Amino acid sequence: MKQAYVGVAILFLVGLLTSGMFLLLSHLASAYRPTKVKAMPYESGINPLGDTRERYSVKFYIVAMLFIVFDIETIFFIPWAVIFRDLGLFGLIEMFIFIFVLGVGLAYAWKKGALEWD
Amino acid sequence: MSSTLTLPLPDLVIGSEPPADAEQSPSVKALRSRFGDAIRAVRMDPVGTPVISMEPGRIHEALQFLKADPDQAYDLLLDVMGADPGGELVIQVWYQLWSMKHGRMLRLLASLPRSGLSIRSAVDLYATANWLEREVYDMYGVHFENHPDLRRILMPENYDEGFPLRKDFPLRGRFARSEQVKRALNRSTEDVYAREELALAGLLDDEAIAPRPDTMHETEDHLEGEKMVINMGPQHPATHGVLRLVLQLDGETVVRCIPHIGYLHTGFEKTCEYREWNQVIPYTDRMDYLAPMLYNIGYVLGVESLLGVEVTPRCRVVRVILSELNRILGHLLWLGTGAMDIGATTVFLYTFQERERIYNLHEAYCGGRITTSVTRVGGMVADLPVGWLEACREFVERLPKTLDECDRLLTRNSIWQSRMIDIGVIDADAAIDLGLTGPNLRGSGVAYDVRKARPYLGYDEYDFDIPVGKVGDTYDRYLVRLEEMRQSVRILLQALDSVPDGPINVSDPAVILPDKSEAMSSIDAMISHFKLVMEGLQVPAGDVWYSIEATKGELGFGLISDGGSKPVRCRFRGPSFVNLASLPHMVEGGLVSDVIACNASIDIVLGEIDR
Amino acid sequence: MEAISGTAFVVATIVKTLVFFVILLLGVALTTYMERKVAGFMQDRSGPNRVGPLGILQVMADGLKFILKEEVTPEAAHKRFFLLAPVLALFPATVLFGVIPLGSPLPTPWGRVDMIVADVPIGFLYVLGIASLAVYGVVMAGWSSNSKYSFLGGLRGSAQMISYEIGLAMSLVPVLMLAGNVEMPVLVSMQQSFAAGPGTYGVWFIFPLLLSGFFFLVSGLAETNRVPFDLPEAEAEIVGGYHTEYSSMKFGMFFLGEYFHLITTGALISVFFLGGWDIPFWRGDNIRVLADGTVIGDPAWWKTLLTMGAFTVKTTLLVVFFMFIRWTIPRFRYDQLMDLGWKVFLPALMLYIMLTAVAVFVLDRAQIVGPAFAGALFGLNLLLMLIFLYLLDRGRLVRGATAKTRAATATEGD
Repeated sequence: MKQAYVGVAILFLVGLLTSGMFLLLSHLASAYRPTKVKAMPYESGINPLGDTRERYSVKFYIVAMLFIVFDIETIFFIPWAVIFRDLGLFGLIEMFIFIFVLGVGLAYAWKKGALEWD
Repeated sequence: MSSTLTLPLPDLVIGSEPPADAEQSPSVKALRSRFGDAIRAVRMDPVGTPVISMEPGRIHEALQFLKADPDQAYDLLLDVMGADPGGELVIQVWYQLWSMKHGRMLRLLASLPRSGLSIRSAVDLYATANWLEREVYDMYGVHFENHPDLRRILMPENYDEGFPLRKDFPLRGRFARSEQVKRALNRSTEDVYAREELALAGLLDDEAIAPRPDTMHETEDHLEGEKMVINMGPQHPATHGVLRLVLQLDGETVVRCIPHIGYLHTGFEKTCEYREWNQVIPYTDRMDYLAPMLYNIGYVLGVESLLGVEVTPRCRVVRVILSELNRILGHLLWLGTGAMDIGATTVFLYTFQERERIYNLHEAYCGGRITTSVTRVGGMVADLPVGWLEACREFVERLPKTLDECDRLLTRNSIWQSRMIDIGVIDADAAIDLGLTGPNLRGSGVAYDVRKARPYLGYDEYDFDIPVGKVGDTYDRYLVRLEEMRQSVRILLQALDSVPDGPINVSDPAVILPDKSEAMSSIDAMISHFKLVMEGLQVPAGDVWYSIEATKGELGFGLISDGGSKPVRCRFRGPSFVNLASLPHMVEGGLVSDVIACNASIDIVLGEIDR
Repeated sequence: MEAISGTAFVVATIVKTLVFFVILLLGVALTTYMERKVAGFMQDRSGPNRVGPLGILQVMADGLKFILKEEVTPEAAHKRFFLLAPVLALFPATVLFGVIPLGSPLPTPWGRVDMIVADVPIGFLYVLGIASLAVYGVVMAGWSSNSKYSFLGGLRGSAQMISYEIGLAMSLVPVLMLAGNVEMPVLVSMQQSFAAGPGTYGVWFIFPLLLSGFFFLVSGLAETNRVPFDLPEAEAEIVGGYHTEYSSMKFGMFFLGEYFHLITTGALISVFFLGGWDIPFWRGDNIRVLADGTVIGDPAWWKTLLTMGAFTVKTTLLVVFFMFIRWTIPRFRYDQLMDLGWKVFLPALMLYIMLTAVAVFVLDRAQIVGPAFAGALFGLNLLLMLIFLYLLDRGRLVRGATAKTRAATATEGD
């Protein structure tokens, strides 16, 4: 089955080529008349106040951390799910414990207010 | 017929009986007894509002008394307006008050000498005075003491040409056109921000104007991120025009919201002072261009009250029909754009289909679709064309189908509800304090509607209900407007059944141009035609503050005449102007998405805000 | 019949890739056209009707416009990331379809050609992995533009996409339980109608795993950033969101990426839950390739065409369904969206996985197989679905208020 990856490689090549072609084509074909006002970032027509890239709210970092935790747990689910029927009762109980731990983690994050978005 | 209205029957009937003696008014009696020495004059205006001219220094005290005393209970400050009666002597400030409890109107009038243009601010009594006083300051240079935020509102912050509505200010401004253009182009970033905003962005080291404490909760063990200052508007898809909101955001949460208006300011009120009474009508279209005929009708009603003219029965009914059609026109636009702001694009096109039908009716009547200019003092521009009433009835009968469709799409939609319920809550007391009128006030549960409180055009003869909300959130305002359209349909059906025959215009040759054929055959008609065209309509000296129920709330006209053919003062109290001032109260502490929902629910039109 | 191999395999793969890619590009172009026609249909208007017959050439006109418009790069933008972001938005969407089986195997003189660009043994993981790449385009676009609206859109977009990625992955766990495999073609052969034999169920997975399908549909919709989940680009709030500063073809690539995503999401739902290229109520297309290379059933070129047609129809219907959603309902608010993902979907999915595991375990012990097995699970899912929707609704739809109840009671009452 290794040769199946030839298909993936060709596909990646085609995908990258398409993207590159789009960029190149529009770069070559489009007009280019920059002015100072045109190059200003859009803020409803008013000169922006302050910088954009400053320290922003911690809430967004929390989402990222939660994601890492739960997405990795999800990855553990997948091999289990594939062979779950061969594992029998043992696999079932083990995964119950796993989900329980995961649930406790979620409940903790919830309780601590990590899931308050506003 | 429901009996929601605890308001007593109105005692003001336009143009019929002569106004009673002002001294008989209980408010005047009470003020006489307490502030007798401060009262300079008392009179009655043509619609029966007692006008009390007082020492400027005692006005604040009087307002305090009028608001607090249970026998007066003037809880709604409808308008604060300035006026320059000419002669380079004084500047007047009018306070127009309404008592919900007693159903009474009152006007306090302060005449300030040019040498001492200063009066105590009423913001501590009525929150609505904030923007209204700022406008008086902006236009007349009256300084309001103790005002929390006295800066220009319609003109740019760094406007140097003076105070535009003063009589000594030339129509085209003090500076040459080239100089005005130069100044407009050379504005620096700091010029377009208020000092408070610069302080919010940390660009101003000024302890005196430290930003207000955050309205959001501070979690002590959280590392607070930098708060972002962002401009929403003037060029933004969802601000319904060139409205600019400066938002201070913490993540997605709005900490502070500062509206900036005036981008559409063209000085209508100034221009109108240079136009004859009938020539003002086209300017009225262009304020609330979403429901232009209501402005047309309200304005001529105000002038007619000064003239003491009563229009013909046919004209009254036609005006009611056009008013209600335009109320639907305005509400439909609100429904469509409001839904689109929240992401339901399809409703927008459904409502616009119906709006097109109303525009077709406009066109069939007067030729114009948006700028209708349909009224004349003393009547209408023309009688209804043949078949118009039938076309109108056809529209009115099919409209509920579309309303039901939008209702089904939105009202019970889970997402729609979660976007609107308990968002932007303003309770009844706060709504009155903020001077909200129209559906915004009724959404908060106050059944105040000018059509019921001070019926004009014979609205008391029609059977209709005033829907009111309970909580005062965005959802209530939505429900109220949806129901108001259905009530308008009810009124329309009754009015369409009862259009009387007869002339549409009054027969007074001093008011209305005679028929063309008559002018060509009769010398009397010819003379009056000539006089009206050459000299213009002569309106007797006097002043009036007249209001009607427009789509967005109470639309007031403060008119002063010196007996000539042009108004001395032509004040338009656009309801959106006052309603918009409540936006910060609704959105601070909410999310960015709520700003859009709240802004949509207030239903503003920048044309009448900026004028 | 032997699978194609050697040089012929490479040639076949290249041909397949190019043909499918061109078809997909055309499909995307047609989808953008269809979107406007569907919107027009729903909104009582005609949609594009000026360029070409029925406005079909509008697509070409738009493409030309994308290419010919001026490219504007904000002065404070991070140039490299600004350029890379649209590539990262488009690229994953284009390569995702490579592991999706599109039809029954095609017999050729040189051997059997599978109608899949890359029949990788980890097809399922490939899908999840590549799909999650799309978030980088959004984040980079938002951050590199140095515009506050873009930045807000980027933050919203990243938070939303990673949140719903969990839902996307977890909703497929029950599918894997039933399938016991991560190869995409096997998933299809298991769902073939009336199929019998070990490891088959004879029905589409949407029946035994109804709730799973629902979660996947919603999460997939959230991943495509469309209404009601279009917050990263909600034009009413944050103008254009993360692509506010993009113009010409760079914007076009975000735009195309969204439609690529739309089609791939539709295709994935077809494969996972609607039997892939299976034609319902017909045994003739029950062609399976076992792991050792033996073929059950008889492939034919016309069957390949028919099955590909069936697959296209399923995907198209799903895409139209997504369009109907877009033009019907309003959008969520940021916190409501996150609440739905973390406080509703995540716990519900964990519970659902546990319940499905127990059910599968019990049914296995009871020696129930095939359609009976699927039927029993379907009953369970129907019940769970009703409970779930009832709880989610919290009495809003079922016992909702009309405009009258809240507003007018106050008028009539006192």
